Amino acid sequence: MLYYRPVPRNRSAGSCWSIAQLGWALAFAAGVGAATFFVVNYQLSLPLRAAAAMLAIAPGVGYIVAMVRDVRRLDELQQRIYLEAVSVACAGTFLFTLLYPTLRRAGLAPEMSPTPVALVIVALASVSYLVAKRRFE
Amino acid sequence: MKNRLRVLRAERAWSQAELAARLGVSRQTVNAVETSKYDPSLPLAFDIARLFGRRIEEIFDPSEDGTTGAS
Repeated sequence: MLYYRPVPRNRSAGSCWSIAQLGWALAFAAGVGAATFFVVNYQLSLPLRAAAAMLAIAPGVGYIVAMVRDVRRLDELQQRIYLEAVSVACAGTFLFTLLYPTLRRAGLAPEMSPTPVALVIVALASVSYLVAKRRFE
Repeated sequence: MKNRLRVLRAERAWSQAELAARLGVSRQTVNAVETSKYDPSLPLAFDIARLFGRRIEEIFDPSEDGTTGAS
């Protein structure tokens, strides 16, 4: 009988998405909407404007905590796939944000708010996740 | 890395999902290991060996490395 010390592994091989993560994402979206509503429609003092911003920041932190917890629940292969997807998303978004001013000055990109950057991250992460997952099927 | 995981699983009439549940990993991981597309970590390899009552060398064969995505 081989002797070895079993490595505690309480991973349930779960999904990278959970109800908690979705709930925090919805709370974040609601918080952004509420903060925008109050800031746009009311003349608020600085402390109240900061409090309004916290309506979105607090659930945003909750989302990050839930996401990290879900990632820790993944098994080793799922974490590897997730890492590849996040790496591509981060690198691609990093290059996009650096390149955007040049494209803007060259007239090759329209004026954009920061919101599309979030969409770029999601799109890159989704595509690279599917590609990485396919490699191991 | 070539392995006998599929054979050992079939001997016990376990599905990939059943084996995955016993190992605490996803069915995708079990399938990737069986098809030599993923080499398990050392703790997982030991868990597999312990589950089947075999030595790691009896299950995994590094001499014919058909891995395409482990490194």
